Amino acid sequence: MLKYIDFWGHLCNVLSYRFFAGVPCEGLVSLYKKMDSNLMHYIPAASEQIAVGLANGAYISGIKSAILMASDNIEFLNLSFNFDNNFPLLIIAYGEIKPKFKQGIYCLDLTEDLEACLNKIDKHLASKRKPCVLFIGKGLI
Amino acid sequence: MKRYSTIRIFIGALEPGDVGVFIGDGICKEAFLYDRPGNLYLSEYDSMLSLSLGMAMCTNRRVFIFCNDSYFIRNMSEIAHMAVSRCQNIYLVVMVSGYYMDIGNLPTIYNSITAPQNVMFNMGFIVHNYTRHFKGLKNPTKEINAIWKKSKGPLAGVLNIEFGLKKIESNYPSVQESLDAIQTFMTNDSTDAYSYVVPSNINNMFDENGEE
Repeated sequence: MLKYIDFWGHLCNVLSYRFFAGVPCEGLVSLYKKMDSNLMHYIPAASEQIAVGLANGAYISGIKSAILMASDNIEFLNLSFNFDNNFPLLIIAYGEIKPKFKQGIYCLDLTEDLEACLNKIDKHLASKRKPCVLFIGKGLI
Repeated sequence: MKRYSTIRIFIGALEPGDVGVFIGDGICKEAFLYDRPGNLYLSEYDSMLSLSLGMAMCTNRRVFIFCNDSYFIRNMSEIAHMAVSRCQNIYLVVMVSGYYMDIGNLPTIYNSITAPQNVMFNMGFIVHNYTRHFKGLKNPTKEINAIWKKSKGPLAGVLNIEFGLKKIESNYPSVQESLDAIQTFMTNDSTDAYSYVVPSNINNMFDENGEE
């Protein structure tokens, strides 16, 4: 089983993600509780769309950003701004990949090899400049 | 005063290191006539207020957002986020006409709200009303500049504008071009951010002997 501290440590310290926004989801509560304000800045957003806006704004200022949410709400998310303007966005979602998501959006399941998985999605974001979803399955962390 | 004149004055009042975010097709066209480095033109998308807030949170530069009352009404939840952010470098300017000026001149509900400025104040904004400045003075650029130099955010400026549009044929840059330009501007160290030291904080810059 993976540890929350390792997840945040690699994402914030190694890959330099410092700005997070999101709408709390029951599955990610433990992940939220292990957030360290010395490593990151987190904004609890009123809606997922606002979280996307905040993360995009942080990216314009030169700070790597990500949003956290439940996978059920991804299909209601309007990512046209990111797709139209080649704006990368890391979405960390709790749940499983549904077949619909796979159309047009890069998805990756978090596996036991945490570092390789996070490095892979970070490389993809940098090269393709499109939104990507990292799914965290039940009981993995 | 009409909207294109107010936009000219507001752009004149910005400092070189400031970021101006213009939201809406009509506003972008009018603002592009007075283009300057640091202007961001966003025409079509929602959640642009939260994008501006995200920018302000991660930079020292002052971020000014110019939008219509229709956009303000449409994104009230983002306005609440701005108000509670405590970002001292975010300024929102709402130009109130009471109409969707760019789309058939149909009325908005802004003027039906009881005291919308009080709503902003109660959310957490410092609220300024610039309507009198524009009625009493022909060109209040210096006055607006002075006010903004001495004000801290989150600040909401409200201005009632006259109804009427000028036919402007300006091809403002696409969102992608504009975003590329603003990313370069934000990371450019040669244009410093304007930083105002609040008088109450000046003492903290000196030690007990009065040395810096």
